[in-house]
Amino acid sequence: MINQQPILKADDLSKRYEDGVLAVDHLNLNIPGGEVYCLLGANGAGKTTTINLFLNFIPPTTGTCFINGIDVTREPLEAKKYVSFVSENVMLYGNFTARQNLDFFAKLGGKTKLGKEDYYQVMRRVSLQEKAFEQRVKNFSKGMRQKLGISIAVIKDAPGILLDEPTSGLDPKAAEEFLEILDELKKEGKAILMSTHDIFRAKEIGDRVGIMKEGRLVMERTREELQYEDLVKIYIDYMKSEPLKI
Amino acid sequence: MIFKIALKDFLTNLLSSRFVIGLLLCLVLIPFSILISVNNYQSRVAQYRIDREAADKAVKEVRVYSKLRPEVVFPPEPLSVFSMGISNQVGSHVKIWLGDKPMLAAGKAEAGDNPFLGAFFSVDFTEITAIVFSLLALIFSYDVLTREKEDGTLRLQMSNSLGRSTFLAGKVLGILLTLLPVLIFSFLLASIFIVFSSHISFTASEWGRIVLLFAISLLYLGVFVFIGLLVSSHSRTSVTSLVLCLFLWVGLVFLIPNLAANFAASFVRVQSRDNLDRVLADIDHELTERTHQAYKAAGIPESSSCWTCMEDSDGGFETYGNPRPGFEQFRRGAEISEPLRIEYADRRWTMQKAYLDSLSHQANVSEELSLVSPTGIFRAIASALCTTDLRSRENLMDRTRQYREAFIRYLEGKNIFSSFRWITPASPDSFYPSEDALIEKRTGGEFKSAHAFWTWAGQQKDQYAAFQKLFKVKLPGDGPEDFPYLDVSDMPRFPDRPPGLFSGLEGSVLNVGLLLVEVVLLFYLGYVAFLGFDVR
Repeated sequence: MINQQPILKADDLSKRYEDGVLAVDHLNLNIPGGEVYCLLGANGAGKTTTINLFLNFIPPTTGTCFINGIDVTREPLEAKKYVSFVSENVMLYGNFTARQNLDFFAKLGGKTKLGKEDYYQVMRRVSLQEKAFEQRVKNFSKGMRQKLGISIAVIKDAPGILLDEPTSGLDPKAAEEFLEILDELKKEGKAILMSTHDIFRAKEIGDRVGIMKEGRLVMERTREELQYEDLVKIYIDYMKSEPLKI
Repeated sequence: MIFKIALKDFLTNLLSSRFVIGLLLCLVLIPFSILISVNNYQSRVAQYRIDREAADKAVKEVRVYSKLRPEVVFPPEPLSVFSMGISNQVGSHVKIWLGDKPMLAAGKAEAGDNPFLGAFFSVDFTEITAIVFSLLALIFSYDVLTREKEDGTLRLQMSNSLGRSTFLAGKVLGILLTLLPVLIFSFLLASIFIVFSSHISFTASEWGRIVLLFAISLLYLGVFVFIGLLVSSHSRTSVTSLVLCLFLWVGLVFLIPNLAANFAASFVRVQSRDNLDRVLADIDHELTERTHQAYKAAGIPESSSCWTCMEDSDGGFETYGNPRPGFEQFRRGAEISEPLRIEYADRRWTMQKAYLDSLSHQANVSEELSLVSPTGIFRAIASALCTTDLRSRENLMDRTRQYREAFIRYLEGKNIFSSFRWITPASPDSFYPSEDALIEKRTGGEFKSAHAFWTWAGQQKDQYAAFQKLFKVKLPGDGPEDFPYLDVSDMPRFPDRPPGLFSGLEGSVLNVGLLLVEVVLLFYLGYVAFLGFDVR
């Protein structure tokens, strides 16, 4: 169910930090609803910077990001209504229960009229154990926190989802469960941008896979194209290649 | 949304160990300090009662107006249980003299048995508020941003449609919601102690001042919350922020106020007391000279015999059993000397005031320098609210000087310096017309004139036995025991004037304004810094 109108869009996006490092170099991305776009790349390739630019945590040097057609730089608060975010390490308020955390972030996301059962339903959907619903989050494993993180994204029900290496450090079962939820969200028509190091999972979940190197998107393949190509080899070849001349 | 963030922070703080420690700290320190302050107040009340009783007795037990010297005894300020200010360092009573305007109060404020025994813990409620609440405010605010950033929750929050100003307002409200109950609890605890203490009671306006003190404490708390916020928004880590905040706390709460006092003591010189005493001695000498000259011009002899005379400084002179010319001579002397004494008190005052002004100037410089710190401002406002500051004391001394003027007007209204009542309670009708008549009467007619007696007495070997002749007949009115005490019920009394809710606070308006400006400025700076805060 791919909606061709891009929900997440980067238009000639660049970011040069104050120390001169060019973290993102003229990046163009168009992610329509119902598509998962996986950004691969080594550490420092610019994946997280790209997500930070989408979230307006840092201003772009050139270009701009659009979420649901809204310029993030000009109208950040309006744009962020249409996007959810799950980080590598979902950190929540340890002294609050899973439901209390979900309630707090749901309200931040504009969902003010939800009841306890709504929260339970979302937590069930992301396969969080029932007994954990009313437990303090400080005792949660990373997998449980990631599930709670995605439940925050689910409950916000935004058309765009940004995931910053969400499966990093998860055991295979937990990662698999996480990807299943992503697949469901994709089917609901969400546009998902996921940065990851995990080539195999990128190939498995991604409708498109892009490789970033030194801030540039150096390769992009669709799911269909990757059926005939070895993504691992492509990735390693790009990583081994000479530094880009900027 | 602001309230949601505030409530989340409030609940998080409530479950934190720092909240429990802060609450316990207040639970221990507040009752302890109030207990000590109430005991101290009780001791000062006891001393006040002793002094007051002695002063009342002294006024009631005089027979002549020249000996009437009312003593003003200041009651201890009930609000001093909240802020001692300078009340323990200044005297508690002032004797009203004709020849001297009240400059500094005398006497100790407390009725302690052992002057060497000092309470090791003499920090009052205001000091505890200044120290503990500033620390608590910083402890809850130093990591208001850095903790969220380190925990990773800041990114998650800011990934939503959440404005920075909303977020910041929520955070600040959260801290205030956390600290407000502790502050209210502390004031309530102190108030409960006061209400249930049998030794102290407050008037409505004094309770009103406690409410004002609470409001000022809240503002003071706000300043430190915003200092923590400002530091947090400029720090990369909570540890850096904590270290910076602790440095600032030590500097603002302890260093600056103490440095201000030391600076004022070192660089703002006060006039030498010895020098003042020398100048005053010169003026006194001049007064003596002028009095002698005036006596001479009026034909009043420098010395004269007196049957019973009791003289003290400041023109106190009580005499009995003299012939009319003797009484007349003393009356005329007083008529000249007492207005001169009052006139010279004004001259003395010119010098005394300059000395006092130099003391006040030094204290004011110290206070003004300490206003660099919010703690200095808070202390200044708190002591003004509790009427234990320098200005309240100066007002009290001004009122005492006004009372002296009223007392002098009272004496002048009775035309007392020209009256025999100034020097003797005896009625002029009872005066013997001459010394001859008096000696004849005293000696039972053995000697007909003073000359005859003194000639005879001069020839006697046993002078004591010779003088015993003068006691042969006891005359009524020869001594004080023959007269009742003066009725001074019409004498003006020093008015005990408990402060109104806002009286005497004019000088504090600027300080309150300063505290408000600091709150607004620090919040603004914190807000601007947070706009550029890297939330990643």
